[in-house]
Amino acid sequence: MADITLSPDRLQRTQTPATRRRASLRNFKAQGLAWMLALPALFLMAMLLLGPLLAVVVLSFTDYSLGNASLDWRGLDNYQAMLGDDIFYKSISNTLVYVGIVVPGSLLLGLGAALLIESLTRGKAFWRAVYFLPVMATLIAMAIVWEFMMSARFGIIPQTLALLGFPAKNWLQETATALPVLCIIGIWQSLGFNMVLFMAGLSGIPRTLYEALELDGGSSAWTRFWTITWPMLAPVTMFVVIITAIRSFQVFDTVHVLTKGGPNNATMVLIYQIYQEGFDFFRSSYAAALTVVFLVFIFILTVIKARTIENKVHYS
Amino acid sequence: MAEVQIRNVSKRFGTTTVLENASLTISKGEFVSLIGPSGCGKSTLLRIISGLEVQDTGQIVIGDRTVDDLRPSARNLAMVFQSYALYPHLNVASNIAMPLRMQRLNGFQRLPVIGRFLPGSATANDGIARQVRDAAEMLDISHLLERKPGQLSGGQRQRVAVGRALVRDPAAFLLDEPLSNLDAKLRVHMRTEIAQLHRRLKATFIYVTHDQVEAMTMSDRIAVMMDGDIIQVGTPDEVYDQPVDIRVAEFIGSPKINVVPVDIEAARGMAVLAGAASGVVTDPSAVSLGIRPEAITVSSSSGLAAGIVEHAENLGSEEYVQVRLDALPEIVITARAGHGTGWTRRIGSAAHVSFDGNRALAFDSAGRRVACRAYAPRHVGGKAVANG
Amino acid sequence: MRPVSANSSSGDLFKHAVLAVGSIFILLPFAVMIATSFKSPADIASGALRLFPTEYHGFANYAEALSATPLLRYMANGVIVTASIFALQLLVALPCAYALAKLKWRGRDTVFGLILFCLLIPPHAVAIPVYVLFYWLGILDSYTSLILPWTISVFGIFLMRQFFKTVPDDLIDAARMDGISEFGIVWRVMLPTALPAVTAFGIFSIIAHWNDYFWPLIVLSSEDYYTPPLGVATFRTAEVGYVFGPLMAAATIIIAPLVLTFLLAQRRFIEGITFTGMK
Repeated sequence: MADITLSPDRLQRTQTPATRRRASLRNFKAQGLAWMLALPALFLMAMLLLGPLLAVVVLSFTDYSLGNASLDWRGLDNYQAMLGDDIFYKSISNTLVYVGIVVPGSLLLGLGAALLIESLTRGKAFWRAVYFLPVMATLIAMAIVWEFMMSARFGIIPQTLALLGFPAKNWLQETATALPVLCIIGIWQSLGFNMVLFMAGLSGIPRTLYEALELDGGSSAWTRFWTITWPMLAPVTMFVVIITAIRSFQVFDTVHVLTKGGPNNATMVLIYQIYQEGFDFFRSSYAAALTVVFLVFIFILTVIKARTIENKVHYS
Repeated sequence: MAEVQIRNVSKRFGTTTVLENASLTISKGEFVSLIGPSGCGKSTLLRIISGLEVQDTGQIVIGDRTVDDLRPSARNLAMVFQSYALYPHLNVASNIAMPLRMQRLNGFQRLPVIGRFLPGSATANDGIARQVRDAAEMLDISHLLERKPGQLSGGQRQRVAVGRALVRDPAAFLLDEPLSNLDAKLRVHMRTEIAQLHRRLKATFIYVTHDQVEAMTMSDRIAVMMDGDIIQVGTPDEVYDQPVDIRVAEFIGSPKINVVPVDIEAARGMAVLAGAASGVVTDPSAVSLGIRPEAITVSSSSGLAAGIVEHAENLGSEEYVQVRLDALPEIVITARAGHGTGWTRRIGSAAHVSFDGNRALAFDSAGRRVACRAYAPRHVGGKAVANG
Repeated sequence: MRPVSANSSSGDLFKHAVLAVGSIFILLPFAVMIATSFKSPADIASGALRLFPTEYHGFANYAEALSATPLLRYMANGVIVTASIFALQLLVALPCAYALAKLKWRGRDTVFGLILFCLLIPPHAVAIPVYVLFYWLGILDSYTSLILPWTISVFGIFLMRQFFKTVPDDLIDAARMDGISEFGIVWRVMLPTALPAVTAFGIFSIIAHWNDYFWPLIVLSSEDYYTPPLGVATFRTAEVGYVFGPLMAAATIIIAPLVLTFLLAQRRFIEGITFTGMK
């Protein structure tokens, strides 16, 4: 008969308190170490992001202005003042117009550039660099160049338009055209950024899809775009829309350098108004209330963005 | 090198018990494999030995020292990882030197450039460089010392990982599935190399794998783990021939052991298989017999049970024949037939299977091994009948 | 089969033409800027549409740009500020990202949640309280006030955490077996392993802070600390009647470092921007 005696060399069960303590001590040390590594970041986050965010909301209910030693609770006063503030309405509508023009403009041009460049056999890197250049260039410096290009007497743009019979005017100083000019600068600056995001999206589309479509009989560029490229790019497109919108909401540099919100508040935008109230007029509490409105817009956009990223997961 | 003792180690992750009171002693210089299906706790056990994971209860003793309080690096163990875990930014020489540099140089001496000019570092660095060269020579990777891991093949990376373990001259080597990322051919080759390395170093090796061929070919002893438990420890032969549990029997051996249900005839304890006396007498609690393919003979003319050849595989050196039994249609028996027996041409035809009663294993309803022995049956007209 | 060769080369030609037309819009400001920086005041005042100057005035313009305002000082400030910001961002973000990606600790999920929340906060939104804080601390108008707000980059933490997640656990365990401390692992193992991500983050951070205008504009009052964007904006307001030649020379000088680095390491930059942009 076979002998079946082999079994693991089991000793009796010993769970001494000492081993327990040892394990928990090592665990405690590991926990402490992790907190230590995260601590500098947490401290700075509390001091420079979370605390100030809370402070913005609190300030918006007070009458604080910079330099004051004390402040009083004023409830919704600032928000009530906002409702009667014509400049506020102007800056909201201007900001929305700016976003409404820059987002589709830089999206379509960026997509177009990406499609053209990606389909080239040669010279991809060259054109990509060209179109990306404005992203790298300091916007303030380039805004000054744009201003020079717009100046009525020596600017290349009014001079060229004059040759075509238009009056030589500085479009930045006209109520009707100042905002559109800022939009054009905004599009000029951001289309290269959108282009590289689209290029990344395009390179993620498997070649085999196009080959399959060709076997199925769809070989025109038009069919290829609408049946494969566009639907496959949809997540990237949504993403580009949102981040361009968030960035456009924060337009400030060009306004500050070129128009200061003028003429007649034609280019007054939200961040510029916050800047003026907070740092020119030192009405900190009113600026804080405007900031809260700005935050609401950004949060809405971010929620949409988070939703889109979830959708992106479904696609892959 | 040293003895490694695992004493009553338990580990829980949240509500899942990964290890339940596991104990095992690995002698000095022994090669022990921890084997089991994924999720059985073998890797966790290895990580607890190394100190990378902390057990909930129990002790680890290396040599005569309880090491539970010690950091992984202070336990003087070396580990070879499944993914090799080489520092991608360092060349081969620096990878191998890393544990020695950490041991022998202080923080200032390790600084780039300046460190070299600090007192003591020149001697230490020379010693390290010599040891790295020796290890590289032993593993035949001297020509690769300047390369980065990214420029190496899988097998070469594997050797570098072994080299990094080697230079420490550790109390024991811990190897966590070190061959599973290699292709089949290289795996066979590295198996030999690791076994030879063990013979040459005479060091303690603890080797985790899910591949029973690796465990069988390299180990002095095998510890089979299931569901957080070490259920059997023994030499490869013991584990293969005398499994204590049906799970061990089924896990070890390829193709898998045949398990057939049996009834026990009350009078004598004869196991009845498919209505026929099997020629094996067992403990009355037995409910099934396990028979390895090589203990089964298949014949077209006569045997214990009749069936139909469902499939046959010709491996060149031998053939494996699968026969579906007439009396037990849910059972397919795998038998090993010799070279050139030509069963592949007889798929669909009738066949008879019989087995060597001396090699049969009996198991009770809980899967535990129970006693059994052969009892020579008489064959009457192609059918076996119980004697008397 | 599609007639590939003939069709695509003529198609390519057409595409190049379209891109060339588009690039007029893109490159015009650069062309005007550089061309004007070489022109004499008379040339500019004539308003004639001419690319090349009638008389070369480049040296005078650039000399004027560098002497009328301490442009080089501004550039040095820009380098000090951007480099300090990036170094401190790494110093703060990497250990935190490592703890979030690779260590198990109670509170980790909460901390990560906070970081995701902070990602939503646009810098403009906290400008007022941070300004008030700095006012009370008395550190407005200093390098500290330029650098401190950006030392915490939740985006950097998030980005590095995502990248660290892809580093195999085995590598960290191997480092522990080799005797490297947890703090050492961050700098000696994770940082070199994550170099592509660190580079991408660096490109992102440097572009953002070299070009930043809003924050320096708010906190600075003395020219000693001016960064390049602020410098060129002041140049414009200081020079009554806009002396365009030197102004364009100044603009050229200020955008040159980033633009030239970009042109030299184009692929790196675009990969970096794509990597950070897609998060």
